[in-house]
Amino acid sequence: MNASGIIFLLGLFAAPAVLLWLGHRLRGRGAAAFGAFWGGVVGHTLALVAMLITAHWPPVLWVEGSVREGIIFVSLLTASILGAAIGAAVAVARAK
Amino acid sequence: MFHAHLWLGVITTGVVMVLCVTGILLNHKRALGLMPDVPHEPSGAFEDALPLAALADAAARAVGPEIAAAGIDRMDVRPGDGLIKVRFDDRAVTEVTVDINTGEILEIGERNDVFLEKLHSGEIFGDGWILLSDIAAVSIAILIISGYWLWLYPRVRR
Repeated sequence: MNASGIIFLLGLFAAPAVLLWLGHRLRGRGAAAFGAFWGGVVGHTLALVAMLITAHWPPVLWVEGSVREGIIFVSLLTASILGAAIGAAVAVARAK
Repeated sequence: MFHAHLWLGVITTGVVMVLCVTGILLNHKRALGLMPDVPHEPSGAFEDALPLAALADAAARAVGPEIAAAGIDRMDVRPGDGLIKVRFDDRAVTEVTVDINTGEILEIGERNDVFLEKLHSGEIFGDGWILLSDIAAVSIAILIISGYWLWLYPRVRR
């Protein structure tokens, strides 16, 4: 399996698992964890919708090294991490 | 049990969603125009049909050298409709519908349902990725059983 396949599997299975773990007893955690959780959930959900739409594009558009690779293989993981980072940053800024 | 149900449900959401969407689309592939569908009456007796090689040749000429170079994946004969569907092994899965008696090209189109079938099974990502749909299927079965357990067990205990 190549790197994009591993990133895809991490985004598909590991990212929601980490978010679920982060969401456990969320009220007891700090503002940063709260923001990271919701940011990650929003990021992963948006990426999942984008991945589903992109995956259903006709096969002629499935050209190697295209936008398809970015959206289908990488978006789930990157959107979760990016969402969590933005969410945490916003929450910390608000707390201040 | 609740946590097992929750964890499995959340972790397999993505792959189950792909399985569901592709499944619905495949169920309605004709209505959605995902495959060429040519209504046709036989133009002659089945015994008078052209040889397979001649029909394959006609299909290859119709799609051009680029697609023909990918080779023929399969030929699906429909004696009742008097036609043959010649499916090429190109990326877009081009299919040519040919009259078996005259060799006339009836339709050239893409078999997008083949692509959906591969996406449904996980095969589109490569060899071994079929395990993704296995994971989704097993997850759905476990989620149904654990969901029923969570619903019924407290009622039975009461």
